[in-house]
Amino acid sequence: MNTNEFDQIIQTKALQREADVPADIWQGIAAKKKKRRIPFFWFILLLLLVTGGAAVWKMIDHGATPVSMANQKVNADKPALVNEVKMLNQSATSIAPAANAEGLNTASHASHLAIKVKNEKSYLKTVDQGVDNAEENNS
Amino acid sequence: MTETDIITGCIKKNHVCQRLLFEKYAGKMLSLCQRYLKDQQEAKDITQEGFIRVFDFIHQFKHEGSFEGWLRRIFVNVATRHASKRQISFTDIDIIETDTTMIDASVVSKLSEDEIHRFISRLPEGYRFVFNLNVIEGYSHEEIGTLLGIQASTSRTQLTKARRMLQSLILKSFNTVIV
Repeated sequence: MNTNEFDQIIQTKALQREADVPADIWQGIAAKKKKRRIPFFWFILLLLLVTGGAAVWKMIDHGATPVSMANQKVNADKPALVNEVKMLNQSATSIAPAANAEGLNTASHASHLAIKVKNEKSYLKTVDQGVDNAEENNS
Repeated sequence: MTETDIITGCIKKNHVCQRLLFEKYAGKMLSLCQRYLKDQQEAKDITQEGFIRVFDFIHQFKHEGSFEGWLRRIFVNVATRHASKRQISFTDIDIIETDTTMIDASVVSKLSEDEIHRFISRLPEGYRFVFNLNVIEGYSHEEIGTLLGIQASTSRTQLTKARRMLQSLILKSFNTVIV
């Protein structure tokens, strides 16, 4: 018998053989497949948590930017400032004629009030400008 | 259910089809693993790992050759990779020279599949791997060299010695020398 003949017989016999399969092999495969599904579940959960966390952080972070905080403060202070300017305007108007009649001290007080009004007006203008800019940035 | 239906089901991760595929081929694949690995537990572990890999990569089967051939290649890869991790020893064993012409083909043909399996299992690890890969699975010596990290010439030498040893074992066992 030559080598090829020998190899051929051995190959045919070896390829035909079927071993008795213990039941625990399939159980092992099923268990391994299940085990691999669990990390996948945790991976998805982690991904959701990270994405959700990032979204919440971004929202909170955006809500507390220096610009938005400044806007809130400006909006809260604005009515008071407007009132103050109105009052100063009235005082300046009423004091000015009397000051002219009474002398320099009162006149200088009136002119001081007038300057303050001017300054407050200019501050209000700046504040309005700031609010507009902030709104533009936010949009 | 045809084999194509089972494969299609396995691609869709259908558990019933996976079970059917396992039942159809588990015996042959476990036998393949047992030919490479003497330890029964190791052979079972490799069979499990092989099937998990088959289920993961079954969508890559191109329907070009036989499905069993494709399965075998996966199991052979898993088994050789597993064995290579603990270094397969390619040692030479002194055996009595046997003339293959002295063995009667009809006698070898009469050997049962289990007997052939037992004889192959008695070969040293290096001989067994090379013999299985070349004679049973049909790998070339170059492919065996790449797979086992050895020279093609080493594979050839190991195969010659493995064949001689196997013939010697068969002769010793059955004392069927034809003069």
